[in-house]
Amino acid sequence: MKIIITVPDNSYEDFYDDICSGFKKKYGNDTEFLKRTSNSLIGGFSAEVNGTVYDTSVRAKLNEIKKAIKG
Amino acid sequence: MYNYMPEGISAFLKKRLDEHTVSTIKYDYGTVTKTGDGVARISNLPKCKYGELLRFENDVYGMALDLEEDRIGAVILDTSDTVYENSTVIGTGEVAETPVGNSLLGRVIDPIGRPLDGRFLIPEEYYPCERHAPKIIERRPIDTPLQTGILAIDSMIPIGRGQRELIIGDRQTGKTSIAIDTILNQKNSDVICVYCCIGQKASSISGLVETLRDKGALPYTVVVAATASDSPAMQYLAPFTAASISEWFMEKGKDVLVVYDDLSKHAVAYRTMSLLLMRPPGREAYPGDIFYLHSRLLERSACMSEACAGGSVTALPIIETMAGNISAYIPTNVISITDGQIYLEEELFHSGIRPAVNTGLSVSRVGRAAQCGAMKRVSGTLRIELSKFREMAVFARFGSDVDSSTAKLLKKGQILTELFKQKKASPFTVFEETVILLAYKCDVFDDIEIKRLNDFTQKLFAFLKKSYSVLASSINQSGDLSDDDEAELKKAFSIFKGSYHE
Repeated sequence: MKIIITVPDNSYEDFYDDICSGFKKKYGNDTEFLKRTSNSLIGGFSAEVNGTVYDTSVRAKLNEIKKAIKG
Repeated sequence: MYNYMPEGISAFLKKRLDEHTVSTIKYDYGTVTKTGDGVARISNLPKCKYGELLRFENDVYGMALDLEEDRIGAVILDTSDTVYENSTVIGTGEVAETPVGNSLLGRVIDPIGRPLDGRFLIPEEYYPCERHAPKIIERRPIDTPLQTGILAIDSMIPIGRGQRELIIGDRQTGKTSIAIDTILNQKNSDVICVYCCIGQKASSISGLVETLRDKGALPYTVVVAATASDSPAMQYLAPFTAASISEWFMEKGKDVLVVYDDLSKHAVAYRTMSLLLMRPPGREAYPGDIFYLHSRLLERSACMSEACAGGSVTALPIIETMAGNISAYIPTNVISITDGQIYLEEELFHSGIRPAVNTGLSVSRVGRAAQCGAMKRVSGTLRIELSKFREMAVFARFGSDVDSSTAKLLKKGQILTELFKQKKASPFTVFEETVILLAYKCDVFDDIEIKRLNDFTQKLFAFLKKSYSVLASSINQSGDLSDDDEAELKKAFSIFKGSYHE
């Protein structure tokens, strides 16, 4: 299985390793990881797994707030 | 009781942080399989709906327009050079929306609501760009005039609030000028204006905004601009955004005038998009739903019943013809959708008759229902007189002798043609229009030289505004002309004419 993990920048090494080990626990040790960086995330991370994005980034939160304000 | 001291605030924040849990937001995602020319093909996005906004990497947005079994065709709304093959696309679950509300007045925005005038925009609400047209039960017949301030139009081709009146003509015949003059004429009325530029030069739009600002029309106008350098998708969205902005005001009971400048370029943008999305081409390579594209847009113009706040949206779509050919595909489509057209002729324009309205081919299907009382009373048979004059003028060119009745018709026709000439950005008030036509009807201009007519009318206006100011403001406000008013004006004409000759 291939999981794409996006973090805000390369200074998040420990954080990235923690995320990878978390996914390994869930999906097994033969999981393949691909790391991407995007400043637009601001904070947190997003992971693409089997056609689903799990997004815990600040950008996603801000988008949720924007949606809530729009009503 | 809250503790607003620093330690209290710190404790409060710490408590809130301890309570905070990380929530995860889940989306479906697809992959870009092919991209280029502003469109993208996407696989694996099964729950995507028609018109849904898609977020590509680098925060570039697109719109899903072709939903097939195993792939999606989307147009990219921003610059498409940052979308790559094999990159991820997320369905936002939202359709394209635009900010609406009073805060847009005086602003210039792009089709997705981003301000282009360098100022911050705080929207009151958001409306989807694509909305259903008002239902039959919510509408009422058009009965209130929308004064353009252009004598030739207000007298012969009256436009009502809620009407769709097409402005059609070749390039450089004054189409945009008519629309701008109509916007300028709403200065002291309660009409909100929305001007939508599609595929125009950025310099032209800048000049237009300056004109609106200089003439004091910007505070009641919203400009939606999609320039020639914007993607076809943005140009496609622009009129729908303008319609949504107009509808917000209409739902608040306001009368709105929306100008779509121009729908020919809109059709071309839609054709570009459709061809790139591999949709089958039809006549002139336009897709099969090009009629529906414009009919669903223009159907959103309406005059609402009192139960639905009583507002209205009047649309002035503009179509550019090639070499005067009004029987081309897009012109005939829009002519059949609208409630009339103002046809501008290149020949008239170059012979100095401006606005170059061809009265024979121009029509308002709403007719006299959308004309104020004063205009109804004085405009009478102007169209027929002008048509007869143009017919006779052709024979008179050969220099043949004409009988006295024909000579009179020719003279009256020349006077009328001269009276209909109007400078750009100088709209007439209802009173001024009434005065000109009543004076024409009473043969006041018959013994005035054609070249002195403009001077005569200007001096007549000045005299009436000075000596009959109460009558002028009463006609301007009520839009009606009573028997007493008419008699008073006729008396004023004879007084002025005496002094003018002296």
